[in-house]
Amino acid sequence: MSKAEKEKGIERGHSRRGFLSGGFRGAMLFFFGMVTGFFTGKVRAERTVWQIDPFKCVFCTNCATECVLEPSAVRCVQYYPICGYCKLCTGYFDPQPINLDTGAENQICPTGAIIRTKLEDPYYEYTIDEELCIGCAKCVEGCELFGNGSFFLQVRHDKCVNCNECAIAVSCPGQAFVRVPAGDPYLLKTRETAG
Amino acid sequence: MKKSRRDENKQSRRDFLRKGMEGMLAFGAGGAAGVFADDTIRPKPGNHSAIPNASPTSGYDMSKLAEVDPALIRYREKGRFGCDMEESVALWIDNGDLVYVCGDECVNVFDRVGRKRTTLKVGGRPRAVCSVDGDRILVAVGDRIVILDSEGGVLSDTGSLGERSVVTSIAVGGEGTIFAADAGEKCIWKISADGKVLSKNRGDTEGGGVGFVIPSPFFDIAFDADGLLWATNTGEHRIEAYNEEGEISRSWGKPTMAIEGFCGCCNPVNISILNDGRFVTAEKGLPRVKVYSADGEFECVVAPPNSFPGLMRKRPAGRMRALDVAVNSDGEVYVLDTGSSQVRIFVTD
Ligand code: SF4
Ligand code: SF4
Ligand code: SF4
Repeated sequence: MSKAEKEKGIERGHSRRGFLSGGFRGAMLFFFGMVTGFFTGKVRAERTVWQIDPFKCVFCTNCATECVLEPSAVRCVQYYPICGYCKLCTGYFDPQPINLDTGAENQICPTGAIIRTKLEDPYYEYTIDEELCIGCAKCVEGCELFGNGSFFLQVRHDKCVNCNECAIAVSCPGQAFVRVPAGDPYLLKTRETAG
Repeated sequence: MKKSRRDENKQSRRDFLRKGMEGMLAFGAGGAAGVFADDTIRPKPGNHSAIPNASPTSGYDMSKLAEVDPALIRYREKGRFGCDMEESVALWIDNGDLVYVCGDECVNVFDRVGRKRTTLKVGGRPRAVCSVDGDRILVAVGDRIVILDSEGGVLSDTGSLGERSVVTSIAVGGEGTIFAADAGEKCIWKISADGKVLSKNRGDTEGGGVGFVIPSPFFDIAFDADGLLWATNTGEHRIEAYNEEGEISRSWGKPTMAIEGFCGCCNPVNISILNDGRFVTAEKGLPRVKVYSADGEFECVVAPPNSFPGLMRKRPAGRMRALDVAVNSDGEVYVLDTGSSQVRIFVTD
């Protein structure tokens, strides 16, 4: 092999290596492109998350029992602008309370997740301790049927793992579970819709 | 507190997005086969143990709460007619027994058997209507009262009564003085016949009194034959009597789900006074209509909750709905059933 041929050969060798390495790079790029495309597709497909339409919930208790997580990713939220700050809160008290005080026997919440704080007479503030709440909707029912409906259930997105098929959604008798944009994942009530 | 809750929501959104991003990175690192780690999800269908003291009887068992001893029901439904509107809100009967129903953006006027006489257009969603003789019709629209003639022409307008005003009831006293119950400002406005505000009554605030406690947008007033103005202090589950100067003289009522009292957080939502001074009351939550003596003793049931299936269900999105009541010159009780948008007429034998 002449020097020139060697050089050519080397050049050819270079070219083969170049071709192979270029092909490999191309394949890698193609692969990463596919993966990126796959991810992009996933991201696009996952740009919605599960949420509860509070006007459709019929307080069936499935939110506490059917979620794949334990405790459920559904919690009660208190929407203060609607709350009447009632002394006799029907979301806090049993339908026939013995006394209007914080005794466990008077409370409707099975886990004691609602904190009752006295404000100026005769008003009280009710706050949900989300770590204790299991999303059973008992308080929601009392507040909705007799009060202003300021308690309602929401899927909490710091907890929910956004199952493809939400186990609660499939069992929800109110068909209250809807897909909402991930960037705006909470459905709030408003003063207007509350009355 | 409100602020922190909103912040918490924002925080949760940020957490969600951040966790989503972390998840995506983990997915990338794990390659195309690295699907979400399913071991973060623990399937547990039907975990009913999550409700420690759940039982079929715990919570608000509406069918049980709605039960009424049939012996207490001393009225029967004589007839009913449609309000000819989507969303009826309030009812009034004038001295000539004309029946006014407000809702949507109008007031519909009917004769006593439900034949429609006229429709008066109102520029907004009305919450209350009142007319003494049919010549001047006062309509509460948001934070003001609009006074119409019998053809619907605007005679005057009080303008906005207050920043948070939501006028939910109107009554007319001596010399045409207007009284307006305001659920937003938690007061009764005294207004001259030509629409000027004269004074504001915040209820009984003397000697430890808490004044008007109005948690929801229902606050009703009605004059009795002696000229006392009765007001529903719903958050206190009481009906209170005031003179035109705003001084309290009497009150009665107690909270209980039992038939003799007023249920829920805030009731009664509406009242009407019979010629002999007895009261007809309407409640929300358990939609029931009852009669009390002039001293506030429970007498009987006009219509039990099961008469109003449209109001026993969870409400749809929109305004809160409740029964309204009015009585005609024969003592017949007219009930506005906002669940079916019908006026229902109850009589006692
Ligand atoms: S499953 Fe549906 S109806 Fe039942 S509590 Fe949850 S949101 Fe409400
Ligand atoms: S009653 Fe149920 S939904 Fe309400 S705060 Fe307690 S656990 Fe949560
Ligand atoms: S999507 Fe999954 S984790 Fe979220 S609420 Fe539904 S079942 Fe629970």
